[in-house]
Amino acid sequence: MILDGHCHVASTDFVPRAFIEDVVDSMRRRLAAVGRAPAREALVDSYLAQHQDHDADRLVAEMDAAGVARAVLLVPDFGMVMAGRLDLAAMARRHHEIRQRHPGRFWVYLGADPRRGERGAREFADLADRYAVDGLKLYPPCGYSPSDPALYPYYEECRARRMPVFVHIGPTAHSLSFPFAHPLLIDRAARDFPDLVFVLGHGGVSHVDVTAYLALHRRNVYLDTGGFAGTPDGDWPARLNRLFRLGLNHKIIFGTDWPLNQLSGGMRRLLDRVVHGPEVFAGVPHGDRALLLGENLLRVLPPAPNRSGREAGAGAAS
Amino acid sequence: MTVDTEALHAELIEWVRSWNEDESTAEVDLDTPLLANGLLDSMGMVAFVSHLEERTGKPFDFSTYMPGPTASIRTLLDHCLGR
Repeated sequence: MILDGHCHVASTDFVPRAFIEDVVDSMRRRLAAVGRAPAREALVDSYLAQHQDHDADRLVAEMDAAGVARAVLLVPDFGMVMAGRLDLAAMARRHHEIRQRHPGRFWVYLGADPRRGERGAREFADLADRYAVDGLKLYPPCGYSPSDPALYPYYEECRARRMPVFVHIGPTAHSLSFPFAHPLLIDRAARDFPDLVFVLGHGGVSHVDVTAYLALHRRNVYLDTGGFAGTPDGDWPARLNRLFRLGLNHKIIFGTDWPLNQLSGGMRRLLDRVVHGPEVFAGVPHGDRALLLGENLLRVLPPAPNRSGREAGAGAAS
Repeated sequence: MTVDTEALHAELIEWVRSWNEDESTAEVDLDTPLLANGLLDSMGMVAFVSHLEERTGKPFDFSTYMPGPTASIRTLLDHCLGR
């Protein structure tokens, strides 16, 4: 059974246009360097057209084709820096409806921003309970540290529900703030909340020298592989293989960062190369594959059996 | 916009060859798997689809496109033309 710990619904209802335009500008600069830049508006339209899967039907079809049983949907809160179509409450409701439309296929980590203050923490807790949310998603490049004390009320709510905290690290849209995306910024919070699980999103791809020792030496810090195939040189199987031979396979959660790679073969092509290709698991103990492709994720999810239909967790931070 | 399919086929094959700066040893024809043969990566696919849209004057329908390792010039063009 394969579980994907890092997906997004490819919908302009959840991804701000400004974020998509940032992505387009980066791609267009790369294409311009080789003399192939399309008109900006045409490229924006193309990317917007790739974000019309509002009910996650296409994502489920991709998961079925790739053999992915279930996935985590991440719902970042960009609202303080980028205008979006929906507020957080509406996004939470829509993701709940997506889960009802596709029973048993998704967990949901809902976003937050510490600048919304204690009222924001209460709203997050209310939405988490109303919609049986499974985790907190943070996007520090929006302008805050994941160890900002203003986040601690949110962390208390997560601790009370044994929900993991998923923290984006590494590069992102060019208009956002990269210094807040450094993985070491999690250290204070990880020490202050030793019984709360922190998952470093993209930690298997960016700053791996730092994320690896954090995962090895902080019992409550995990990392994920989201975006592993997003590098332009196509050498990602070898890089994943190096990651899986660092001795921390009990702390790595597999994730694709869908809808990344939707044009370049989709989830099926990625999973074919991961599971059946010769490189990714070369020299990796066979038992570690189950940890990487699902068991580690199950261990960090909240334990209540009826929240999202999963069995009790095993105490990932203990 | 009227599309001369035969001429477009030849042009698209040349586009893929040119994208690879003639460095790839893979043969390129209408049915060559572009991804599996390493002729296009994700950036190349973005550029190629943008080129298809520009040349055909039709938007690529992403909502019905299921990507796979066997994507070729023919399958991508047919999808863009709604065939």
